[in-house]
Amino acid sequence: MRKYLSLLLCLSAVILLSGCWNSKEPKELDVIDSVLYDKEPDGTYIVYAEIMNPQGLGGAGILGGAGGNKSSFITTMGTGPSIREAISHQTQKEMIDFGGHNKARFLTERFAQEDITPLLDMITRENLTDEKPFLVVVKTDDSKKVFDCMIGRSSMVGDYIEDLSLHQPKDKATGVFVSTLEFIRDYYTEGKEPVTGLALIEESSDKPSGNIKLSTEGGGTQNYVMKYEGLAAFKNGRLVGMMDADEAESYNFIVNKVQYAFFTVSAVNGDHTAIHITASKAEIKSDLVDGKAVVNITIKVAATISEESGGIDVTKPSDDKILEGVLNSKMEQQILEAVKKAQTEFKSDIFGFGEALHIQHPEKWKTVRGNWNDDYFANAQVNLTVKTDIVLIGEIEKPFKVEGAHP
Amino acid sequence: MRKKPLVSTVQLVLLAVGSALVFPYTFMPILVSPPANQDVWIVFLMAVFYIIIINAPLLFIMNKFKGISASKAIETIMGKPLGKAVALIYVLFFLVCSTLCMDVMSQFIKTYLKPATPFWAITAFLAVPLAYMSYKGAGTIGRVAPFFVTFLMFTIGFFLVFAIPQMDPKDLQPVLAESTFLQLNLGAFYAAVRFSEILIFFVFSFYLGEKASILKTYFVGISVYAVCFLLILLPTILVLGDEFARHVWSPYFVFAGQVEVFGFITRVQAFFVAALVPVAILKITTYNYMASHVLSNIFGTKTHKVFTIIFVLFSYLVCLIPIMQKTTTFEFLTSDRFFPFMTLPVIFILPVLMLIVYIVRRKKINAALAFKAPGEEAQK
Repeated sequence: MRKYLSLLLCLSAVILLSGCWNSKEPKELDVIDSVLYDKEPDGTYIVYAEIMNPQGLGGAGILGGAGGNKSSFITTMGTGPSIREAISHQTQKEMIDFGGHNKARFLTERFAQEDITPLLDMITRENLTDEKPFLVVVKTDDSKKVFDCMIGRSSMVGDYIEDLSLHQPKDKATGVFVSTLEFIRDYYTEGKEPVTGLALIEESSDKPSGNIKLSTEGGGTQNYVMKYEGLAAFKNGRLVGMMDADEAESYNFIVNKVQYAFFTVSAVNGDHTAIHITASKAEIKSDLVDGKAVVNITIKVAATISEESGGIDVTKPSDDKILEGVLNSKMEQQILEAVKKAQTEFKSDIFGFGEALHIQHPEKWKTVRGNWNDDYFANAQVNLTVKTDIVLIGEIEKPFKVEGAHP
Repeated sequence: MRKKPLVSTVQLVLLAVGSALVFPYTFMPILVSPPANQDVWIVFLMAVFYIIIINAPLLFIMNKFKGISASKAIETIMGKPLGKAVALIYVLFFLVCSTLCMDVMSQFIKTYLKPATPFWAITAFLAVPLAYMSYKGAGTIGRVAPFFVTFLMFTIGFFLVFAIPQMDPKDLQPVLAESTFLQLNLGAFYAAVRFSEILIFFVFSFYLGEKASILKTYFVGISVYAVCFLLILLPTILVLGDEFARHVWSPYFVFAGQVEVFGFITRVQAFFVAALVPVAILKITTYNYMASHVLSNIFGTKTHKVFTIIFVLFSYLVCLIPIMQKTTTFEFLTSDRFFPFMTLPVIFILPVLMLIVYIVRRKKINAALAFKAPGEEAQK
């Protein structure tokens, strides 16, 4: 009898402990894929949510698909005096918000320029949100275009950003992918200011995939594309400026975030050589000399020849040396320009020179930590040395144009 | 006469380690203890030595009174009336610990996992299994420990391995540059005083087999605890950064949320929950059992079971008091302003007093021990 009672008690747990008040059926969830945060000049927060529409998934291309004519996502909008209230006031909100699959948090320029710390607070405090989604500042004249532009083969904007984060760094280093957690870490790190990714919404003549419905306002389909390149620099939780693709690439070199990059250099007039950067390692040494910050950066780069248009014989070590020298100069110039921009325009140490000083000379750091960005970083003397090593020359030896390349 | 249940050394080690790991696994108080910076791991290494020093008096008593129940040992040293009073202090401590831990776990579940579920339901969910395990006694608690605690250890290793790509060693630098000697020692002291699991050894060593070495069991326990603690602490700091980790209510939970396995297995926080909740219930059970067991010995009752039910109900009702459900109350009770000073008297001050009394009365006590040792009472 006792055994049966115990068994009954165990079985009752299936009913009693199967979710209780917090039970959420998948069909009752509004699965959020990305969110756009905006703020009106009067202080009202606007939150747009991109919510997965399971009935629309499958696409509406020429082969048909499960989605038929339905969109793969819906967007909802809410306003409120606080971010959380704006989220809860979403239009078309019929199910329970589920933020666990959120891939990206887009911030409009004006939202980011105000102060994003209330957002960070809400994200880390609320049960609905987590720290994984990427933070992306959107540069556009109309923020709603974020959900109205071509996004490659993806069906949703959040998925697009996630796909880019996985694959774009294997092609180029012109964008940055910063999760909310990484942003928060940098926000709290002494001597380093955070950055976010930058998405540019531009008109395009690219052919759309048909995975999402594009805006048809004004009669015809407006084709906009989301270009993911550059970065948005922050200081004390506020957006202070943006960097373009080359500058973001330079940033990635300094903070060791480059997987692959391409540089095209010209060692001989009229010809060019495409060099594929396959590995890069930057070392930062910061110090205070005579009351001035001095930063020495050494970047070691491993490269492969990808394309040679002219007279450089890449099979000769002497010619490789020439190429290495030209590439070193080009990279040094590009990177120093990016640093200069951060020093003069942003006055925000996004590279972490202060962090290096903090680690390498903690006693000296104590004396400058209070006005590092505005004073010491802004006026720091930055010395850069790039050391390129062309390791491989690709799958052929002599270039097509070099004498003796053909039998 | 019923035979006392046997608890193996492995079970005891895992029971104590599991109990001690619940707080670092949940809210990691060491992060906000002085010096509250990247040197926290050094603070913990120092704390291990502090733990051994603080536990030494009780360890000596335990070793000396091997095979004798905790309450009997206290009575033998302090004399009957005073001994019962001292034992009663321990009962109160166990009861407070059990209640506090129930409250902490309920708050954790309410905050992170089930915000819509009422507090009373969450607490009841903890109270029922703990009442059952505690009711069944030391043997059941000992047997359960290897299942629950080894899984918890597995999750520590799992999270560590798969979080390696996200770790940034810069978060531990600069080393010892921003902490004073006093801050490091104060932090180590606070961390050490929180280790009240010596009392688990004190109460449960009674159930060890005759050949088991208490000292060896204790030191194995401390070593396993230290390794596990560091494997919780270091990855958390290296992934979240020490500053953000300090701002988070449950840093290890947030850390676990960042862990991904090869990019396609995510949401491994489920492992965290599956590991933490049973071990937390085991911890509450252990303290509840110790309270009812020692009280049962004080009153000389045949069984602890009545006290178990009373104490569970007491803890449950206390947790339902509205002020106990407030985060601010919880913050205070678990902070360095309160918790270490609650544990210090029972893990160090009283044992030191007992040790002094023992040294003064050792001839008489040893004679009594020699007389009583062969016929120590049976206990379940």
